[in-house]
Amino acid sequence: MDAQAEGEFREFVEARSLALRRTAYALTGDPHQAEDLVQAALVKLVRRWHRVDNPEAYVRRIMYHDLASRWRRRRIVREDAVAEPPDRPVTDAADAVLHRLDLTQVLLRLSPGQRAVLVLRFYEDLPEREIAEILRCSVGTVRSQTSRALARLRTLAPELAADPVPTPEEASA
Amino acid sequence: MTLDEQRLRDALDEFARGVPPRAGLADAVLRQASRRRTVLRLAAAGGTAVAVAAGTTFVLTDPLPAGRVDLGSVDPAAAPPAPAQTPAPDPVIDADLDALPAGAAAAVPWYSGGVIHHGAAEVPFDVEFAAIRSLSAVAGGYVVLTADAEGQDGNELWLVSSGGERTRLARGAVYSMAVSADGALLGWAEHDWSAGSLDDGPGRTLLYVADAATGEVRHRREQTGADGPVGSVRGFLGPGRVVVDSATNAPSGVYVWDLEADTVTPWTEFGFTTAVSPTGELAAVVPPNEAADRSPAVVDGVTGEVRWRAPQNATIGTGGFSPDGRYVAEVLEIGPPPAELPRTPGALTSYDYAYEIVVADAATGAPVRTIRGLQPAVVTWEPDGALLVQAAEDDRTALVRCFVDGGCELADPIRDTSDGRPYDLGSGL
Repeated sequence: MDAQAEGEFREFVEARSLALRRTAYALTGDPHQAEDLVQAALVKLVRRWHRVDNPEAYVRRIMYHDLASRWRRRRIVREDAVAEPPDRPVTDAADAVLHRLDLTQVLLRLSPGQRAVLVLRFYEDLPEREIAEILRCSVGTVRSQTSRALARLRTLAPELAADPVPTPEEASA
Repeated sequence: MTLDEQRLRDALDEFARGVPPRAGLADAVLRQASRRRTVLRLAAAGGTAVAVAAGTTFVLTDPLPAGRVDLGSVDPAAAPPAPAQTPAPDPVIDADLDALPAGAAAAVPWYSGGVIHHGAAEVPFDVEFAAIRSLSAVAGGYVVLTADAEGQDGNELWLVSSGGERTRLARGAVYSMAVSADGALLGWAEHDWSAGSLDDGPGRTLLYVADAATGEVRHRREQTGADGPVGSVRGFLGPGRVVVDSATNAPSGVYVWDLEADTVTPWTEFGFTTAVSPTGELAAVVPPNEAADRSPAVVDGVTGEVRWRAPQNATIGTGGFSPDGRYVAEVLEIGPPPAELPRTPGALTSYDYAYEIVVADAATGAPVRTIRGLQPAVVTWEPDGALLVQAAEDDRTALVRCFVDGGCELADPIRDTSDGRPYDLGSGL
């Protein structure tokens, strides 16, 4: 990498790394894994700097692919036993902060693919066509994945529903 | 009922906002970009190495860490003197992807782009899935276990004839499958979580052994109650006994399903089975997750007694045993355990692990051959006894064939992985 390219790369990192790291954190829920994810993607970008037209799109695509690969390559894979968790009991409405804390935990219980599509759609606010491009799937798949991820969220966090299911006590009142 | 999307957006924003700005990232990336290959080459050289790269000093101490079984015999310096006329091949192979000669195509099935490739054969398999969990040749074709992108309950088990006709044998919480050594029998289990819990595992498991050519079920067993989680099929110990794990993170042991007696009985107190020898004589197991010593063990296929232990940093993957059961391939991760890596808040924690593939005598654990310089993603064996490694290096991957007698070659050209995995062998470490 020559001096000019290095300068351009540094400018890119300066301008976009915080957003990339925040996306990585939303994807992984783990600060160390997020840093690893971003840095590994940036290392790949450095080696292809002259061949990449859109550095940010390239880094994001690498991040999503690497995340999926890491999931598959866990050393002793025992995610098998973690199937559908039991439905959470319907609780009284709590305050918004508590809801957000709960949602953080709920997001971490989604599959990587489900979390990725929600982060792209509701955190990065990307249109479906761009999400499909990043995830290398069809727009229809993006729609169905989003729908299924939201359905799972509703199951795991019924308090997120706009019209939550009443508690048994409320229903009988 | 609709989801409050604004709450979701707010939660995601707040979640991500906790990430602080970080200085020096570009420097760290540029340093790492210039040093990664250097690390691998140093590791491949063996011994203790110190290097300075792009202003960063780092130390690789003892690539053969404490706890390793005696590797003295694989060290060139410690190798027994070879006869003068017929020098023995070097027990250590330093493999460099860019320097390997081209060899024949891989003799095990692999998947790419809707097609199962097997030598010169190409069999269509146009099914939508997220990943392949297992892919094996069986009598008359192939068996494929695919993973669903949405979770663990949508996995599918397919029987694919050599002509491309496919039959779905199962769909649901199917986590593993196994094929008998002669390719005639196929075993799997379907777990039912509706009656179970996260702590205890599925409340019901249905075990199957079927004719691998037709899919016709030969043996079926239902496990319920306390035995509900037991039944995840790991391998055949001969034609009549099947090793089964528990589908829970807190297993009570490893069990054997006797097909004729239709009994499932405890076999070892280890937690999980990672590989079963095709001959059924041996199996590789690891202790439960909470065990202090998590080193893999190779146990006797009949008694379940421990034959030998591998080091803590070793992994024996599903394809670890050679077809004749004579050898086992261990992958050693060289470097500090992840839990011991220094963590600095706000700073990157990374370590460039190097890897060794040790081909050991399966009966004793004595190392026979060590392959360095590859980052193995998948290790398996070809029918004729050659080791096949899917090796990754940055954004490249290749299928590398290594011979127990020495030497390595490419079984598939080096491919770019920056746009995803170019192929899938259906088994991992």
